[in-house]
Amino acid sequence: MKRLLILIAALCVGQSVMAWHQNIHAGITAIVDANLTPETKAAIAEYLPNKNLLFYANWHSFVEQDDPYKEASKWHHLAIDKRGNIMPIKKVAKSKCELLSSSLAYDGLSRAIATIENRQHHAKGEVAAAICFLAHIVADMHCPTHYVYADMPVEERKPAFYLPKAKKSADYQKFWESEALTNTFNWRAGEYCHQLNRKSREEVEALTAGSVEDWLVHNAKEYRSIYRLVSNGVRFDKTAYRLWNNRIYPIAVECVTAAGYRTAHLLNTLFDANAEPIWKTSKK
Amino acid sequence: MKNTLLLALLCLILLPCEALAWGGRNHATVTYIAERHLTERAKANIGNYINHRSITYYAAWMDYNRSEPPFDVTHGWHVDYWTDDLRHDKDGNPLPPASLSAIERIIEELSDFRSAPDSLVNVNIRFLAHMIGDMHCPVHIDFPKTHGVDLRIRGRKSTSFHKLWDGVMIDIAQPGFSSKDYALMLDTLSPEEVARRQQGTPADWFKESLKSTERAMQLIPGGGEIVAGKNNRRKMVISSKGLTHTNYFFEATEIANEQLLNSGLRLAAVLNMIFDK
Repeated sequence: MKRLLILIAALCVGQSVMAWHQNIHAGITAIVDANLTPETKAAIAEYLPNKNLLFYANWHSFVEQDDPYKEASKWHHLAIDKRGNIMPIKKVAKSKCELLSSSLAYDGLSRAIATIENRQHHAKGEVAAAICFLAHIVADMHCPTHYVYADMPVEERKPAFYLPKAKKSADYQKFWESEALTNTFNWRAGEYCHQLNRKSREEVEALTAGSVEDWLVHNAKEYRSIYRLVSNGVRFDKTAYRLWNNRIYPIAVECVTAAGYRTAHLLNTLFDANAEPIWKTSKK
Repeated sequence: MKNTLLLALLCLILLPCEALAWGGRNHATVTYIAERHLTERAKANIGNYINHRSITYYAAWMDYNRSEPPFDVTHGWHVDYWTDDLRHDKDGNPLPPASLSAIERIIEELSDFRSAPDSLVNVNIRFLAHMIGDMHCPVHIDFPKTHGVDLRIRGRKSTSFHKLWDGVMIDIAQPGFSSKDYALMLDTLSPEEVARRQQGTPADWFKESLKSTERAMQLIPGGGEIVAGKNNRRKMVISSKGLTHTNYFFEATEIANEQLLNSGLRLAAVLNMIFDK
């Protein structure tokens, strides 16, 4: 019960800002676009005509403010149980907590995948929305602070840390969504692709192996370590802040790179008939 | 031990002050231009040493690691001296190593890069990617007149003269460009002109940069009138003495653009000379 309350509190305080910085989302989508097969691009163009997928990189963030997509405003976090697994929706629903039952990005992602998979039974607009949601959610699921660990106390997940000359604590989630990268690289969309779309075929195959669920569970395990990078209450001077950023940005670079390749791989397997649908190949 | 400490202290005193750098955006512009002029063989050889990343990934790496041991020894490598022979002060005393001497040493170390340890080649590529750019930035030649000058630009927060040239000026005069797009915009010279600008040695380029610094200083409004400000800082106001905000930035940006382009072309020349073999 105590753990559940911690989780509820953690989710509640994490509702204000819930996505990578717009430039980063655009950058991830540029990597995605560069890795789509011609077949996938053609298939997506049927639903998003006359526009590149890049055009919709931040669509999720805009439409979630209003009907009919308000529900999508809760598709940003992933709840992780103490064993490191994604919390099953049924288990969450048992809490009868509306916030929890609807705040799982996994729910939104599963529905987007199902819509695309059964696209012949859906209106074109629904499929188009599903493509945009999928791209955004997979990108978000590579932002470390979008994982909510049921066994992690709120003060550990939201540590107080002070930027040079700041009187108020900065927000660790916001920091990871933006400054973790933008303090070091001032890239625009195409530059993310130029800089990060450089993995070898073998590296990409290793990165995209497994199911979507495997990726998320793996991320949940890896990303827990970011909370060891900051001591609660630490105050940085200018030099210490720069040195701390030097520890952070290489992790953020790998997160963004993985998001780009994996989103492309997922879309390729959904739209390209020759590819095996990886979301059905979970090891479990 | 005592002598070492004394020497270190002397170096700190003698090193040019305000050792900042072109801003990250401008450094990236320089390396994007250089990338466009690298030969395929040079690009491949360089890629083998930097995990196939772009050299632009490391364009500002030196700035971010200047306080990170063991790279804190590079603190003085971002600027150089305002002297005639670049090696001695006006009394003929040798100056501590700064930007130019570090560049020359690195080029020498990389001349037989295949025999050098991979880690040394890796870090020296990062150094060159940054330092060839820095040596073309007008305020990276130590010019006493601009030390400690605060600057007021109409409608904006105060900044320093150094920061203006490092990056603020391009940010104001040419907003909206990514570094990659800015590089594309600047890099339009004919092959003959590119070859002409790539001629010479780092020492030649440095002497040429001295002239660009002089031109930059001549643009100071009111012939360089700098008034007393708070805390012993001096203050310069752009948009006074008949010089408007617009025409100051137009002329100053022309100089900055020339220097960005030259440094990108010359970085490519140096890297091609080392790695195209």
